[in-house]
Amino acid sequence: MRLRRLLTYFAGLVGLMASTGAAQAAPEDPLQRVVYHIDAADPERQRAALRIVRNHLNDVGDEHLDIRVVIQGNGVSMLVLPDSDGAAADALPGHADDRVQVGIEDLKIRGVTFHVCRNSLTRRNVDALNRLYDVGPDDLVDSGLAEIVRLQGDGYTYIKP
Amino acid sequence: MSIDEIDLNAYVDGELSHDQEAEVLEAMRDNPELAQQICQLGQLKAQMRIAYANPPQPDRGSMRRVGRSWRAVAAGGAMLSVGLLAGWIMNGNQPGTAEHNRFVVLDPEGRGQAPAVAADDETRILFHLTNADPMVAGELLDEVETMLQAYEADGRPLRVEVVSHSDGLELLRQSLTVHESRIQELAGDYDNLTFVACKNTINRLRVDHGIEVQLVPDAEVTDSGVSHVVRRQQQGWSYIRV
Repeated sequence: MRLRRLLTYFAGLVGLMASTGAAQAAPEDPLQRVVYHIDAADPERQRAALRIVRNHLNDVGDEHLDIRVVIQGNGVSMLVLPDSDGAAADALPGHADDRVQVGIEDLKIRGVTFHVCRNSLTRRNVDALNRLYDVGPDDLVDSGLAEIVRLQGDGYTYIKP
Repeated sequence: MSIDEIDLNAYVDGELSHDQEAEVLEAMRDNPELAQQICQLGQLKAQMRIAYANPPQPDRGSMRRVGRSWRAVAAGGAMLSVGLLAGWIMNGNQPGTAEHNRFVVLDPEGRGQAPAVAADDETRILFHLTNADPMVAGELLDEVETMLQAYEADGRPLRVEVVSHSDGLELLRQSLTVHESRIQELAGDYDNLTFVACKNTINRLRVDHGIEVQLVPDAEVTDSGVSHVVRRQQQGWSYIRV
């Protein structure tokens, strides 16, 4: 009799511990925060990066994700319109063809935020607002790398595709 | 099969030649135990180095697991004692040596002796350079300098490490880098900036290509670039691959 009571007490204790553990394990905020870093010059890799972000959204669900894409260094060519007006002959080759534009548009509709590095554009003499696909003043950050550091500090997981 | 002669640590770091890698892969197919060990090694390199313990050495066909683990415990205990003693002696003898934290002090086995535990508000950034392009490296140095300046101007503490690994080692190779004077200048101006070279990459160049790598004077060396990067991330550093 005493043993049974003891067992009941023990089971209750285990149950309490388990439920406390479960409560702690369950995240209050199920949102995944992720920062993607694109700095590759290769258009193939740039398109692959967009594809990877899209797959991430498909896998986890748009509503569970807060995705930032930081485009920096040689990666900015992804946003440069091909054969844009006023581009000098030695200008950065533009990779923002139809496929890339559709890819970016799709991600933006699904809630992905893009941050474009102003330093990288300045170094390459790219006129941000006239030669880039769909980049406004709000999309620019002074330093893409500093932005990545800031986002990681805010709990975003870093992925470089 | 000369699998014993191949450094499995180098394999885990992706530092072997194609031939050696193929050899390891073939050996892993024939020997599940070896595959298991390599897999564990990969995970343990990440986890155990944090605690500054000896990563278990792959020892194929071993029947002496108990004996080995006892040795590891004993070795760990011995290291701990040495570490405690050394820390106590250094604290006693070298008061106010804050500048000793300037470098990731690395012992010959590549374990950090000065973990980057700093004031909570210090921003710590590791740039993992694997790109050989001098322009990419130059742009990185520009960004690093801008950050160092901005943090200094604001009076915010910052530590930056540039870990050169694989093709990225070119930045720190005296015969190849175009940035030597720049590195010297930056390292001279900023105590909170460290350049770290991966020893596995250096060894691979020697074994595969007969190249004796000469590093620029300001470069520190770590055993494994990958382990270093993992350790830093686990210590809470921001990580950016360039």
